[in-house]
Amino acid sequence: MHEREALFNLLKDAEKIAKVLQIRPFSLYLLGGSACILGEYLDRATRDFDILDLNYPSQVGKVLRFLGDFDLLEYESTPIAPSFKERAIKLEGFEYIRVYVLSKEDIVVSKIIRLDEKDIEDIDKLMPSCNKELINKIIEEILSRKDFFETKKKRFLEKLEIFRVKYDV
Amino acid sequence: MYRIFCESYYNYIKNFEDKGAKDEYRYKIAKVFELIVDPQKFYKEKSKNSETYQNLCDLLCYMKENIHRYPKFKAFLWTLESRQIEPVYCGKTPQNVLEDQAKLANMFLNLMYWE
Repeated sequence: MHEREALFNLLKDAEKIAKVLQIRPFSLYLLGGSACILGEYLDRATRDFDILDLNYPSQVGKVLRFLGDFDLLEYESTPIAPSFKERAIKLEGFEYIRVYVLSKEDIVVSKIIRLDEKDIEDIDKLMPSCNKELINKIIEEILSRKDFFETKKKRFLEKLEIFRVKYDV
Repeated sequence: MYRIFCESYYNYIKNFEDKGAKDEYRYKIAKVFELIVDPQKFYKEKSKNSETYQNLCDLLCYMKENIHRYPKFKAFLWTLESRQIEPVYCGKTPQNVLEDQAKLANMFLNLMYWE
C-alpha cells in the first residue's frame, strides 16, 4: 500500500475511535517523516508519527494507541517556533479530529538539531522548495524562546553553523 | 513523552501504595524512576553518587543500548538529556532488574498507565 494512504488510514481509524469513545475533538500537529509524507513533501517509507504534545489529557491516549508507532514530542525539547500553527497545513478528510502537518520550513528547522544522515537526506530534498527567509525567521524565533531547554539550544546552535554553511542560509 | 512518563509513574506507584504493597518487587524496581520524575532529586543523588543514582545510570545505558527493541526510548532519552539526566555506565545493577525496569518504562511510554 502507498505510504501516504497507509498513514492516512491509521489516522482515520484513530478518528473513528475518538468519535465512538466520545473523546472531545482535538488537534494533532505532525512533524518528522509522517508529516513529510502526509504533506506530500517527500515520498519515503515510515509508519511512525511524531506528534507535538499539546498537553493532551489522558483520554486522548486511548486514540493515540491506535496509531501504533508514535512519539509525543515535548515542546520544550523540540526546536519549533512559537508561530508554527500559523503555517501548519490542515489535512482534508477529517470531520471529528483536526490533523495538521507543519510547514516544510518548520520541518527543515526541526531537523537541524540532529543533522544525522537521514535528516540531511530529507533536508536535501526539501530545501530547493523552501523559503530561506522564512527559515531564518523560524530560527530567530526558536533562539528567542525562553522555554527551550538550554542544553537543546546549545546543541541547536552547534548544528546551526553546519546547516548555514551547507545550505547557504 | 516526559510528562506522560511522570503521570504514568505516579499512577503506577499509587496502585501499590493504596494496597499497602510496598514490599512487592514491582514496586521496588519502579522506585528508581523517582529520580526521573523529580530532577532535583536526581541532582541530589548524583552529588552523593548514591546507589539509586547508579542504578538509574545503568538503566539509562541499558535503554540507550536497546532502542532497537524499544523505539520509544529514543525520544524519551532526548527529553532526559534536556534535563541533564544522562546515561553513565556504573555496572552496579543486575541484568534481570534492568530488563524488568526497561519493560516497565516501555509500558509507561506506551501509555499503559496513563489513565
